[in-house]
Amino acid sequence: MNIKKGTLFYSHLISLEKITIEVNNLHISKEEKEHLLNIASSNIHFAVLDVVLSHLPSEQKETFLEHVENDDHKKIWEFLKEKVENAEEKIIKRSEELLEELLLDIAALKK
Amino acid sequence: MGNHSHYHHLKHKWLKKNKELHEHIVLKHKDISRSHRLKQHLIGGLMLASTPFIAATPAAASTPPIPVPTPVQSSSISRQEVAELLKEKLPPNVRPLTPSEEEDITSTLSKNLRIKVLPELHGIRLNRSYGLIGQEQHLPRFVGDSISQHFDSSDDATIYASYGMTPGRGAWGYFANSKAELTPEDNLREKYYIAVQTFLAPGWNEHVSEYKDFFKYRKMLLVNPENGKAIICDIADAGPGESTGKHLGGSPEVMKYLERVDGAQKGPVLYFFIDDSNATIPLGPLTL
Repeated sequence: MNIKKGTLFYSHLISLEKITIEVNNLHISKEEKEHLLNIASSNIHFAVLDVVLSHLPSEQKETFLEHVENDDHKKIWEFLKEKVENAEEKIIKRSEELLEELLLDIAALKK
Repeated sequence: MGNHSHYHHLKHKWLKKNKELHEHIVLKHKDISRSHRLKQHLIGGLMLASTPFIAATPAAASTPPIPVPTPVQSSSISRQEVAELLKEKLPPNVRPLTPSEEEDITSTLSKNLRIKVLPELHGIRLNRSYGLIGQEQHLPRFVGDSISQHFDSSDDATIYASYGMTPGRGAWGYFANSKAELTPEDNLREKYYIAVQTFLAPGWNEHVSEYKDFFKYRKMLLVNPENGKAIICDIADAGPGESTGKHLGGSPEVMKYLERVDGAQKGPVLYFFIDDSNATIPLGPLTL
């Protein structure tokens, strides 16, 4: 089981390998693993949205969401590179923080 | 901690985080809180997190959500625990709840089922929120609908055909103008319908037209307090009459799920409105 990669504008920045491996190592059903990975993906999605929106002025937030809705990665990144300084680094930092929290939750189960 | 507990522990913790992240975005980005696109993205994320047994991909998070008739796994406690909690809070006899009882019970259900439930919505309430539910028949979905063509599968037909179909239409007419125009949503509305005593709602006589619009296909959460089973239904008919001694009716599918198909064909249920203004909560059973 794996989370499908390369489908969101930030997919190339975030490695879900660790969390996928750790969840797959849990002795729970396939369906339960899928649900946990869905929640993790959803959490990352919210975190990425927040970090980008937090660095955009009000009038440009809607434009960003429109590009995301159209799933036009080229336009999204042209937009972000122009409007948000070090957008990639910011997305990577926030998502890694969140993934680390999730991994710690799994590690805590083993204690 | 057992393996199954690992799943429940992580699910509970990560869904809590999911809710916090969602609320954070809504609060922090109030400047675009009315944005249709933002709402779609937020709902898409929530739907992904609440879709337990579908091999969803992150792509789903960026796609406008389509309410699907899959069970929503929303709770961190078992049905038995729900039943035990309700047993402590409900009166021994089935009667209208007092405002403080309603507040206590809706708070308990909202917290544990992770769905906001309310005895009153937009200033409108029913005559009661705790009553006896009785068995209803299937409703015709369009002109010419019949038992022989009513079911999605032969298994469903075997289980549910014997309940028959009402000769008349539901309170809001047919669900679709014709068989060709019947949508999956129409189908689910009939499958999970309830009949409630709209005509006894406080203010009905003074606001008939407004109340009809409000009640039409309005979603409600029904809970069998004896087993903790919960299901999202929609109001598609008015009734039963006061003389029946029953307070609401359920489709054969609703009654079967709630296990209210005992010999008496009626039993107590709690029924509350849900706030589904974004139309994201699908009709059907809530699996705990």
